[in-house]
Amino acid sequence: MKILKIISVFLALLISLPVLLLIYLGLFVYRSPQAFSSQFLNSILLTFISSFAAIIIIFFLFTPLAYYLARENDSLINSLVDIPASIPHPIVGIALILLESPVTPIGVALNSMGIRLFDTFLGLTSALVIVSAPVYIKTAKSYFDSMSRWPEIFSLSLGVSRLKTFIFIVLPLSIKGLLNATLVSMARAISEFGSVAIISYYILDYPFTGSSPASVLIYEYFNYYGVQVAVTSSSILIVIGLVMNLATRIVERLSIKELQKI
Amino acid sequence: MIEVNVEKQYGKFFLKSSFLASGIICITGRNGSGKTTLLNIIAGIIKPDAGYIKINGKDITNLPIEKRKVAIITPDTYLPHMKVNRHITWGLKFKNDKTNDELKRIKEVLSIDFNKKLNSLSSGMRIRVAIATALFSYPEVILIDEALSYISDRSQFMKNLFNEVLKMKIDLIFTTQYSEDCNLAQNCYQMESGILKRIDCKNFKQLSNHEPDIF
Repeated sequence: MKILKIISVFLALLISLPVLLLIYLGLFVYRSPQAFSSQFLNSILLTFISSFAAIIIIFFLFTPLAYYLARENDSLINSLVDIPASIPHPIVGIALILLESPVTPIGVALNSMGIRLFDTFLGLTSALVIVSAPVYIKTAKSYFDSMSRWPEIFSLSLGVSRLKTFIFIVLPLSIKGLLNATLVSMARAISEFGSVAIISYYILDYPFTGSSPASVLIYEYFNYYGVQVAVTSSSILIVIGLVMNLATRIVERLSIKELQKI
Repeated sequence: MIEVNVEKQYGKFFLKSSFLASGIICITGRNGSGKTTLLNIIAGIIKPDAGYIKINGKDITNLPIEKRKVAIITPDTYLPHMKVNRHITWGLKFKNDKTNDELKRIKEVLSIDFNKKLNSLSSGMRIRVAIATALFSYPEVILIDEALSYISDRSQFMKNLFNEVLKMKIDLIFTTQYSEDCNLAQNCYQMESGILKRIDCKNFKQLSNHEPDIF
């Protein structure tokens, strides 16, 4: 067991070494002032708020789908869910632009309702929902797969409906797994670049007018100012992400303890 | 009245069982003989390859679990996050003035004098609560798969339960590996390699060619 622990620590360090080096260089060596500017802090705020919005939407829309896939072996829906994860992400951005263009009936309908995706918060959130949902669905599905089915079978056998059983039996018993799935897909949303660089390079609507998502801005810094600014800004993004992840895990642990007391 | 005539194949194992019975029904047999598979088929958890299941003349073979009015109890059928009183009334469609009195009475009959969350109870306590929950949902049939062996005062508990079930006009099928449990039943069967044979509840040992598994 001790050898396994040593190997595990070594391997964990090995995969996180580039990131740890980046944090060290960014925060203790380069410390570029542009990375602490309001422009970059706004872009971090935009990234976290849009990712959080995407995750809330994903949780409510796709939890029932993940449960359905765990209980029914539906290969068609499984394949459809995999599509966004199996194509290069810039294509998702292009597809969203095409979706709102007036050449498609959906685009005509969206335009007539005043709904815009290109360079808007809505477009950014939509792209994050599409690229992060497969991660959430797969992680949540794995958790539903691993759960004991007896509590829900028992509830159904008492004549309780599937919807009531899902809401009051399956969801409370799977809250830990679903929170974990949420965290994994939120991390995926924060790190997204390909699709958001196409659909929302800049946000033009209030309150994020002129801001870019953090991944896009880091890429821009790298092109215009060089590696030092890009490394420092990346370090800030990673550290904030880690702190949020840690805080969520603590909240998760406390809330599960509270739930167990009820 | 339960009428079952089903077939199910799993690789080399072939279950072919039929019976027509009501009241308290005991099914005994060795591990792996097919008792659990048969109960899962009746509950709607497993689909039979062929045959039918009728409850009081109504064909329920293709009905989903929640429409069958067949409550199933195993050592794992409990709702761990619920407290006892909420658990027992979980399957109740409508609460009325008599609900609390009835809840109190059922708890007394099944010796449930606690109201903790299910995941903090022992296996025997959980099964008492699960059975009370099944009774309170007023099903037409209750299936108990090997769960009674976890109850400490099993014999007295079974007598109380069976009296209650008969009063409520519910049919009950239970599986057991204790031969003496069959004495309390009205109809008894022995499962051998997927085949169900009728046996005498009172003279079980004389009729059987095999010793039951008693642990």
